[in-house]
Amino acid sequence: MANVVLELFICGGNPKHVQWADQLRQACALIEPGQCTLEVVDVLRDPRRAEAAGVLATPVLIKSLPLPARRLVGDFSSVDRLFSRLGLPLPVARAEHGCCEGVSHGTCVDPCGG
Amino acid sequence: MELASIHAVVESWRAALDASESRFHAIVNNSLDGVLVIDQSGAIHFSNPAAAQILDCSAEQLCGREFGIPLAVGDVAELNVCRRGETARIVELRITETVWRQCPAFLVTLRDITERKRREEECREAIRRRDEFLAMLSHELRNPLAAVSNAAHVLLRQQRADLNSQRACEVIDRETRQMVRLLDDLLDVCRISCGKTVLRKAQVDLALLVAETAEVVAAMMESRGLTLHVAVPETPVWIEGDAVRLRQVVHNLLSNAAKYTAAGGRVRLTLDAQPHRALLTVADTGSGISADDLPHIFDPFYQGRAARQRGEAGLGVGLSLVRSLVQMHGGEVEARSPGPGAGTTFEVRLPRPVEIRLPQAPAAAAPASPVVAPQPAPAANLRLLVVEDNPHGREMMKMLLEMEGYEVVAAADGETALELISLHRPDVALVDLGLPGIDGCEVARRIRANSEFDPLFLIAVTGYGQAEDVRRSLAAGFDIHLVKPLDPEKLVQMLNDRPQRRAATNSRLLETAGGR
Repeated sequence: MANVVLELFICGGNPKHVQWADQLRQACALIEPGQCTLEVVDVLRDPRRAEAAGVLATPVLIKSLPLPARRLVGDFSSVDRLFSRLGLPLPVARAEHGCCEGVSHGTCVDPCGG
Repeated sequence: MELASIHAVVESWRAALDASESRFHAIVNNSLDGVLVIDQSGAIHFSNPAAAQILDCSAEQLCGREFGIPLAVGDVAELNVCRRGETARIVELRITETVWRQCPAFLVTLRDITERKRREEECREAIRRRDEFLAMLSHELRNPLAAVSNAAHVLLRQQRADLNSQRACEVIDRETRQMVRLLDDLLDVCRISCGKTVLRKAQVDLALLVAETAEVVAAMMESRGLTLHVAVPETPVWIEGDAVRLRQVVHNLLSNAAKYTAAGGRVRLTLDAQPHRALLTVADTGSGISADDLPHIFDPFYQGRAARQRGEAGLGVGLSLVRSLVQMHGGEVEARSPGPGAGTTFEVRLPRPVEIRLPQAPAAAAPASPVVAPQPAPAANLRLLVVEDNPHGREMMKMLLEMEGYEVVAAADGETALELISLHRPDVALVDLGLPGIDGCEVARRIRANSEFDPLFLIAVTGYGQAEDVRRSLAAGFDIHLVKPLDPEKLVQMLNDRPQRRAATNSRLLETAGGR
């Protein structure tokens, strides 16, 4: 599988953006170790990065690899949708958690429901 | 065709085109909503001035830039636009599909909703403050109510009282109980709206629960000249739910029906067990609900117009609680009325599990507490300490317990309480938790730190009765946690039963590693 390089631009003061960043981190962790790099950029802290990347409004997710490069903007609540619009295979939870097997997103915080 | 006439046709086309173009600009350039046309790869092909202003660029700068492929749930999403040195603005994004230069594209409209969001947040904050205030109010009102209720019991116990005073005391007693119920409802509404209420679910036989609740309400209905018909399946109707809360749902619906039905009216309570749900219906022949009020009757604190005019509106919390509790159970509730004077029907639908595992001991099968508690024999020579900062509350509690035959000393604060414990060595201490200086929990901790006082039975008395409050006081060293106002009969019974109660508490604490 080719390396996946993602940049997520968020507005750090927005709790929803922070939550989406966490979800995406978890989803990326489900991809083969080391195969996916995700960098989260808070545009309030690093406005130059945002300007350089031409970010007009947040949240924006930029996939620079694998090609073709793609940029998404809007509602990121569904990780599955994000991945499918980026043309990436859906992150699948590994089978350690029996009850979670086959769950195709990275948001399973408490896999066995306590 | 002559050249001149071709020219004329072209001119007329051009004029039509100009007119169309100017109409397009008149609309799009002057719109306050931003308009963007974005191609399938996310690049901007068209922007009106409003979009440029919202995104903090000029329209020319925007064209050709990458906006991104818009994602939305439904067709709406929210974006943040951050300008240097300013707080982020909130922009609503709406997406539809369009065709631009023969290619499929996204038509995106943008609207700055920062101000609207700020006002919404202010409203939410105001509601949160209101709920906090009401929760605090209903808690604070318990203290004076406890004193009044105890005073009434003291008077009732006096053998000298004539019939009129006795009657008056009974009224005080009944009405304070009613006030406590209102406060409980008020507190419940606030806790639910703050998201602090958690259901304790178990397998519940709804048929038994409904029948039992109807039995409790039947006497009240009869005294008001109402007839209650109950039709409940004879076989159990198992659902997964919180028995206490479901009882509250049935009770509130029946109380509501009784309240709005005049003497001579009928109330019908039916429970139907359907394959995937239980259907509970409460229908009355009462005053009905107007079409204007119908959509709002489940809103917290809502008062119907007719009820307001007759001055019988109440707090407006009973039905709101019903809806919240039913929704927390995954169900729904609906009210129907043909109009004023034509009666009302409430229908509650609760989901039932497809596969039912029968519990060993069904939660709802626990017998309801007996209406008349047996008069317990006062324990001889029991020495009690009452710690309460409210002077009237303290005085009444002391008097009440003395009338029961106990020897009572009283303290107004924690320090005095600790002194009196060393001095008098009471068997039981009733400690109010909200004391000035060192509070009730600290008093308990200091007592428990000294093994000399081990035999002392510690009772926490407070207006707070949620699970976390109980845990906190048990962790501080209390044996029992009681909520104001205390029912004197139950209190006496507890004082007599305390060795068993303590054993139960201790074994429970031993089960959890670490104990206190």
